[in-house]
Amino acid sequence: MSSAGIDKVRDWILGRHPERTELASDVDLIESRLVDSLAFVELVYTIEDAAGVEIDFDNIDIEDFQTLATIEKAFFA
Amino acid sequence: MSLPTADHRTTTDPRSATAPRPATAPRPATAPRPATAPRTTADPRPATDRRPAGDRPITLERIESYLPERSVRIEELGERLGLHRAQLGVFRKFYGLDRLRYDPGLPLLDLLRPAARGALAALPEGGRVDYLAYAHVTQAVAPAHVDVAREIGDALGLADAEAFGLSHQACVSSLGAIEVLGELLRAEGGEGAYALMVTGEQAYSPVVQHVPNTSIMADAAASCLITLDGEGDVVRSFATRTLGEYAQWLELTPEQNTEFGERYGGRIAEVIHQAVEEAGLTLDDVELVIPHNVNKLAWRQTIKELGVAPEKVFLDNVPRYSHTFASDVFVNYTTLRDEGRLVDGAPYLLVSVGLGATFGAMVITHRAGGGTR
Repeated sequence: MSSAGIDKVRDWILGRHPERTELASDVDLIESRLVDSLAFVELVYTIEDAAGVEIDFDNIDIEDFQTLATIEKAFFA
Repeated sequence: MSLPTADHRTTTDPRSATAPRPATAPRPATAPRPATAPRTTADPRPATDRRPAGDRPITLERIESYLPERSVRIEELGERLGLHRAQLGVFRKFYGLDRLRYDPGLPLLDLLRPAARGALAALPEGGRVDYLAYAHVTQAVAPAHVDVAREIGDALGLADAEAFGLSHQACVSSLGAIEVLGELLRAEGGEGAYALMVTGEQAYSPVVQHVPNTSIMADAAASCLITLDGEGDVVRSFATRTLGEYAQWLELTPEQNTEFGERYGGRIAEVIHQAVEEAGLTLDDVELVIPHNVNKLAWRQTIKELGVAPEKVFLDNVPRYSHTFASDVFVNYTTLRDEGRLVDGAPYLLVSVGLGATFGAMVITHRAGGGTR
C-alpha cells in the first residue's frame, strides 16, 4: 500500500497530464517525459511539501526521481 | 526552412570551375594569408556532400569564440536572480550547471571583438567581407540608437560591409545567420566575397539571465567567417522549425509550458533527422552532436528520444559555461577543435533551440585543412 505522501506526488503528475487516469509505480517519469526538465523544480517542491522535509541535494541522485517507486523509497520510506 | 539543396547526390564538383580571387580587392587590416588556388585535385568529399553547379556550398572558413575571464559559481547569482535553495539544487544536481562567465563591467563590443577578429584573420589576400550579420537572442542588447552590427563592423575595419542585425530565432539565430549570409553570397557575392557572422551577448538583467526552470544564461561571443566553395567546414544542411504558438517566451501559461516540455524532445528529433537526411546521412554517420548548453536534463530526454548513446552529445561545457545564448554551438565547436577532437572529413551536427520557439539543426563536414584549423 502506498503512502499518502507518494499519492500526493502521483496526483500532481496526473494533474499535469489529464489524458492519464493512472500511473504505475515503475513508469520512468523522466524518459517518458511525464516530468520534463521544465517541471523538475516543481516536482522537488511537491515532494518536499508531501514529505514535510527539505531535500538534501548532496545526498540524492537523479535515479531517486526516476519512478514513483524510487521516489517513495528515497523520500517516504 | 532548409537550404535549397534537395539533390545532394550529384557528382559534380562545383569548385572545379572556381577562378582565382582577384588580388586587388580591398581588404581590411587582418593577418595576411596566401590566396587559395582553385582546387584541381580529386574532391575528398563523399558524393552526397556535393551540390549541383550554381548551388555552391557554404563553407565556414574559421570559427572562433570568446569567453570573458570572470567566472562565477551559480550559487553566487542566487540572490541576483532570486533563486532559492531548491532551484539552485536542481540547476546544479540535475541540470548539470556549475560555473559560468559573467562580467557585467565588460562593454558589449569588447565581448564581441576578439572572436570576430579571430575569425576575420582567416580572410585571404584579395578577399573582402561584403556582409556582416550580428545574430542575437535578446531583442534589446543595446540602447535603441545603437546599431550593434554597424558598430562591430566599424570596430573591425569593415566599413564597406553591409551590416545588419538578425534575431527572432533566439538561440538558433547564429545558425540562421549562416544560412542568410550564405544565401546573400549566392545571390550577390562575386569572386572573393566573404561574410562574417558575429554573435554574443551578455546576461545584463536578471530577466535575461534566468530562464525559469530551464537555464542560467552566461556571457560569451562567437564568430564565423563564411564564403562559398572555400576550404573550411562544409555546411551540408540546415533544418529549422518554428512553433509560433510559443512566441510569448517567458510569459507562457503553465499549460503551454507543460505542452512545450512534452513536445521539446520530439521537435528537436524532427529537425535533427531532417538535417541529417538532407545531408544524405544517417544519425549513425554523425561523429558527434555539438549542442546548445541549455541543461543536461533536457538533453538526457532528447538523447532518449533520438535513441543515441549519451556520449554522442557533447555536454562537457554545460558545467563550465552554462548557456551562452546563440554562441553555445560555436563555443563547443572551438573547445572540441582546440582539444584536437574534431576528425577531418567527419560530419558533425550543430543543434540549438530558441525560445519563441525555434528548433534548428545544421550538419557540417569538418575539414582540418581548411580555414577553421
